[in-house]
Amino acid sequence: MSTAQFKEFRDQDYSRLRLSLLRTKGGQPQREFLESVRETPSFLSYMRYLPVVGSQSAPIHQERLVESEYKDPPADTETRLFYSWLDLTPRIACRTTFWAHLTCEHIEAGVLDSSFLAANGGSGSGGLERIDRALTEQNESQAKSIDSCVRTVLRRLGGIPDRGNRSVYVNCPFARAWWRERIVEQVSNGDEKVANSVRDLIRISQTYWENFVDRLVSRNSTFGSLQVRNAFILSLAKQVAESGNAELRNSKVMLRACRMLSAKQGSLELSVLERRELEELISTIVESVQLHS
Amino acid sequence: MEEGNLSYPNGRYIVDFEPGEDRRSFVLMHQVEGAPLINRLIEDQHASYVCVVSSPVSGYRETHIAGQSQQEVQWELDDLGEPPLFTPMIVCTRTCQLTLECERDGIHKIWDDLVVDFKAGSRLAVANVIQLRSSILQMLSMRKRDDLKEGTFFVDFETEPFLFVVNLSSGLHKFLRFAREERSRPHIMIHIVSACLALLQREFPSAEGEEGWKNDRSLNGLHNELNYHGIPGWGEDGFSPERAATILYPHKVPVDDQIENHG
Repeated sequence: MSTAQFKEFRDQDYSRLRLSLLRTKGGQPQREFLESVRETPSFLSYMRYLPVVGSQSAPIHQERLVESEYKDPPADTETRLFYSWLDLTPRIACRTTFWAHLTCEHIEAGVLDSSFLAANGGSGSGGLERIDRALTEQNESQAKSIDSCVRTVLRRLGGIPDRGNRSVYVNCPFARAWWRERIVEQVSNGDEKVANSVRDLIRISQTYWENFVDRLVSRNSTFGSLQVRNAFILSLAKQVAESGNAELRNSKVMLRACRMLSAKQGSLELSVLERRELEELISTIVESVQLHS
Repeated sequence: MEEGNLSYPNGRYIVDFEPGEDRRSFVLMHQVEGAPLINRLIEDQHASYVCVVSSPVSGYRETHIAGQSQQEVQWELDDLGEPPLFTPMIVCTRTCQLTLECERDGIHKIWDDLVVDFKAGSRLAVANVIQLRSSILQMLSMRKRDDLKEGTFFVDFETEPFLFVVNLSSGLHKFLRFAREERSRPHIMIHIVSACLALLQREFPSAEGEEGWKNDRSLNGLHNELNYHGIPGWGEDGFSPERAATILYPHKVPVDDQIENHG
């Protein structure tokens, strides 16, 4: 068991900062924060007053990332990030305080600029452009734009702890990379071919990943246990890779399979089944979704 | 099991539990009363005692299976992002076919002599989910602060998971930790609870949105507990922290004759 105490922002102080920034849309605290995010040195001095706890630093990625790579790292970058952070445990990897601190360390090391944090997803506007537009807007929607920009920054930094803690898995690029690759590792169990098909599956789109995470972290999860979750992902990945079935790449079809699995889990405790029996049952579900989609 | 329902055997499923001192284990005592059919399935090893340990925020779910009614479950702290949830149950672990007898199995006579399939995975009895952190007292984290003037404290919070951080002067910290029988201790604890509720009123007035308290399971539980006691939520009009604290934990005052003696 790892006993490492990784460095993170002290929860009390970071939570208070986050709450104070979200309290008033377009207010002075949000404006000052965005102005600091615009320039890396000012952002670092803004964040520097936050106390840090823990003693061990997670490794810093050595190559500088451009904004698009940071927002949506390619699969090989995500894999490299995960392997450099192998010592992390789920206990620390689900904490926004940890990822926010690690992201700030990457900004300090020059791996990324603080303005990247404000960038929209996909091919949306760049961070600097969004900040400037929000701060200079002269209409009634300015407060909303500033608020939206601040929320993007907080989400990218480490996530905003929301219902079920979903944000840390889906909004913070570094955390998302770690969780995705951890799932790849757990499901593939060292089989490189399986690993590639699982990686392709969970990286189909941000929506696909978000829908999947919703099912993963809710209290009444679709997946009664890790065995059920892993068998489900494996079955989906194999179907997509081997049959080339395009329908299963649609997140709505994946959600339909989740609902069917959930209904089955509602009537039977699937985690007590033998592995082969579980795999057969899940394959039947995934195949039937294909037939009826 | 469901008393009086023709479709289910009669009986009661009770689970007692004892958290381990190492914070990595938990002992459950499963008890089935008045349900001979379930006891028969367990004795014949068709059914087992099961406990699902989960920490949804870190995606952790592990199923523990035991043949004995006293079950110890263990986990690694590094896997959990919050205090774990426990779901105890009795589950059919081997598919079987049984001929039922109403007298022997404690079931309605309509089932007499019928052959019934029990599928592996069927839940025969399910207890309520056990969550270690369900009251405000379990949400307190008492911390010694040598820089505080003796006899003083202040309350702060953490959000991952939600905790009230009670910063105490060293003497106060020692007193609350060790002087559990002292008569003034409950009054100080009520003062602390009152301060915690005032903090919620100040810092978490909004229920909805990304910063809303509804996002946190512990705060949802606490809100439900307040409502159960007829106390309005901390974001509502009429909420009074000291009143809420003393409804949850009333001050115990001396009985009348003791007061007269003092007078």
